[in-house]
Amino acid sequence: MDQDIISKKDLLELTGISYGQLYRWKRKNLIPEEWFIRKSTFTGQETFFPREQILARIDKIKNMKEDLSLDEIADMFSPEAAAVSLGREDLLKRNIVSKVSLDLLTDQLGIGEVVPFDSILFGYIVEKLLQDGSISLEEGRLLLQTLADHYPKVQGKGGELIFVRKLGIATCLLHAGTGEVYVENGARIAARVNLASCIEELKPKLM
Amino acid sequence: MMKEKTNDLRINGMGTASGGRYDRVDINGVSGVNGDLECQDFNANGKVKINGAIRSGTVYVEGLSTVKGNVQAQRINIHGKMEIEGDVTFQEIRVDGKTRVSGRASGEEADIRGNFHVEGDCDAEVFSLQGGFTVGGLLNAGKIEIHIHDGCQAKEIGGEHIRVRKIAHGPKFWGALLPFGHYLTTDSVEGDDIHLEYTKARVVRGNNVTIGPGCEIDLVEYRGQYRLDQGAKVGESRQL
Repeated sequence: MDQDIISKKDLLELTGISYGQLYRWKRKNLIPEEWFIRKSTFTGQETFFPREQILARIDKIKNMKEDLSLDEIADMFSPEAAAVSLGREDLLKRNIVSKVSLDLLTDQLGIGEVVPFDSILFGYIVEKLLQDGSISLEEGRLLLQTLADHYPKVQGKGGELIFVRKLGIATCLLHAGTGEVYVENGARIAARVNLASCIEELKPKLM
Repeated sequence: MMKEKTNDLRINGMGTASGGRYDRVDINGVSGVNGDLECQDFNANGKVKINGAIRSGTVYVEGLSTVKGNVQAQRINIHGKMEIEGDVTFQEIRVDGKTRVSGRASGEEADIRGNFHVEGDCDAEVFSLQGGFTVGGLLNAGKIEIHIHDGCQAKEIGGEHIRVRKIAHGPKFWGALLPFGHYLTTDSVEGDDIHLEYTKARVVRGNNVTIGPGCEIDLVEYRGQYRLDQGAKVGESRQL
């Protein structure tokens, strides 16, 4: 556990940013509240961050802040939906979904020519899981249906999609938090997708 | 384009009304509103209780107003006392008097003369205050300018420019003679440029740090310049 977190002091030293910048980014919601982990140390309470996540995030902010305002960057990171929709052709052209997932999406959710952000997200998740072979086409349908039915309830809060398989039978759940999930011994978690990080990956592709 | 026609709400004297959408809300006297209010302008004079949230372009309060829910407005002006039992979000807030927020406060500019109490976090681009305050969580602002006239307390303070001063009233030696003057008390102050007076903190960290008179700080960590007043007590200081 201790290797996975980094103290505020070490973080600033490593990345070369100042306290002012860190607080400014926090104010602008570029760094989520949950990443500020308080721990007691022998000098009193100190703040720590999840190492990999915060370093990746600061790297991204540094790269983006040349071209974008802080508010625009915040939009990129926020788990809120982006106000974009794309045409079917565009989705294929930009390699966001393949023909297979797009057909699946059309079949299952009956989308039209213009695809709203939520559906793009669903398609993107299915595409990802189909690509790495963790789910089958039929299971993709199940997944899309779960997302379509329940995604509005976790929207804007992040959440996780978990795909469990036992004796070849698959089921899919949408978890509104990001805490640990334990399954019985016979079952296996086939795939686990963090929705917030998916949205974060997806947004730059749509701009 | 069709413009939706909305009505004004006006209460004079004693009475209650229900919430809803209005263009202008004027309340004078002792009265209450049940339900959420959405309006362009909200004006309250007297003793007013809103059993709901307020979402308005401007909020102007004279007297005592209590709001059960969140308050969201571009401009908020408080002369008197306001109690908000939810969060407050603003572009600009100006307080002459006293304001208590049970949730968090966030916005662009806060200008406070008097007392400001926030139970949660408080963040703004500019936070300037003359008087006293408590922030239960983190006070986070680009520019923090505090003139201590009353007790000041925050769990933590962070920002870019942080300046805490105390201006003595009347002849200077009274301040020195009185044993219980007012202080800013906090666990930590972190920022780029920090100038503190009459502050008690466990740790102060920053690029350029000035510790002025009346301070009691356990640990100072700085990267650039460090100045220490003779009238301050600092346990330990380190350059990083």
